[in-house]
Amino acid sequence: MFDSVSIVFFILWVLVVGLFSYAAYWAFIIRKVLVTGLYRKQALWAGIMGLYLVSLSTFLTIALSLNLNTLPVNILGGLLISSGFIVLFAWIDSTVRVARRSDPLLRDTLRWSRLRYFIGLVTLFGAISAVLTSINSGFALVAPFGGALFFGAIALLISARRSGDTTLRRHLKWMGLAIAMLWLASQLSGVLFRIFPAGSLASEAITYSLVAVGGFCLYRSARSLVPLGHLSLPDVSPT
Amino acid sequence: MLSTGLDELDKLLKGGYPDKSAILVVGPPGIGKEALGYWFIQNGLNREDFCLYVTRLAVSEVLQDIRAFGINGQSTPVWFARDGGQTKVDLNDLPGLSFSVKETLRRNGERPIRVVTDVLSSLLMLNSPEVIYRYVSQLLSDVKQYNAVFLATIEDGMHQPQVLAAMQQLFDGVVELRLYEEGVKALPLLRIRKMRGMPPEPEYYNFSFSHRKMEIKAYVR
Repeated sequence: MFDSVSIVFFILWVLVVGLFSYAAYWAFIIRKVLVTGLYRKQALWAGIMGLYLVSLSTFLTIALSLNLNTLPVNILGGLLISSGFIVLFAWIDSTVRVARRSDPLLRDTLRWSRLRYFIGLVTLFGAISAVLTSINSGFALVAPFGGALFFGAIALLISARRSGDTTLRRHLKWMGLAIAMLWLASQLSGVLFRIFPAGSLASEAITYSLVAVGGFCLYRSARSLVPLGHLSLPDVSPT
Repeated sequence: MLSTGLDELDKLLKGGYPDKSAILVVGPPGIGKEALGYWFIQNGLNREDFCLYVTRLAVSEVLQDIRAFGINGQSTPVWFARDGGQTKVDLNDLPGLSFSVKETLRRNGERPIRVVTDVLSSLLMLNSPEVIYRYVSQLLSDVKQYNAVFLATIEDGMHQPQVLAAMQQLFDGVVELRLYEEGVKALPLLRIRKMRGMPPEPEYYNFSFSHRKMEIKAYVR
């Protein structure tokens, strides 16, 4: 019923979804034990990012492998892709605010406390236009992330540099790698499409491998939200 | 002994923080270190002790956090803060900060005093550790001339382990709040690393914050 290529795709998809889900799980577990609102919010958005990527990768796998291009699929695809703008912005915003808190001089990078409203608004417009583009031209033509988020990413990098928090920097490093891998996978899939025949095992294996690496980076970033210690047996009280 | 403001922590410490002591609360950001300071101050205000809160944040930011823990914050301490306090905190002016603290304590020395601060991590990031060891050591010996308990919080994950270890040496008591990984769970655990007048306490305790209180249970693996 299924050929070997479909089975390989399915295994890779399960791996990718598993990694994104596990990343989201850790972010939510950490959020549960944190008590300060600012840090809980950052963990919440890191978790939502994981869940978002689970739904996006599921949708793309189904829609692209079955070559679905109807209006309802395009609306759903547009909504999914555009909600990524919002999720990414919310994660950047919460992380910039955490970074400000850990900056010893509490600097308001790029006047983020005001700029966030403008970038939030532009991101919202970007999301709406992504839905409209998807309805008119198909979800495959929607750019993955809004340009306004570029400024958010700059604010984030400057804030992280100013912050003395090594934990935050580790979280950012892994999250940055995850986003870079996912972006690379989305760009590479177009190039591979021209090199290999459509639906070939080689192109899908390369794309999925990059996404899987991105999933692993997201998992590491979720676990880097706070330093997690390990208990050694002599430390703990006897049972 | 001065009550911590949290019944379960008082029980664990056999009554509270020792008189004329300096307590360090170590933990990662967001785990609830500051909450120990909030309750300690709130308890002091209820008993009409003199309470001083030295923060690198604005008063409004701290009050927002305080209210999130269900503490009403109607009576407030004397604030040394970045913004909105009686005295402005300038972390680049170490002698000025120290002078203001000492002067305030001198003027209120007839009452029991509680001082809470969150500036240590920032000071360590802005200065060399040696400078801060000397600074804190001098400040603590000045504060201990009064009937005062000094409680400071320090961030875990922002400093080298040897810096944290050296800082802990300066304090009479160290309360550690950390997150530990056990299987696929993250456990918030508390440990009294040391406390003047108490035998070493190697045990870990599970802790959680609920509305207006902290729950502490012995951790059993």
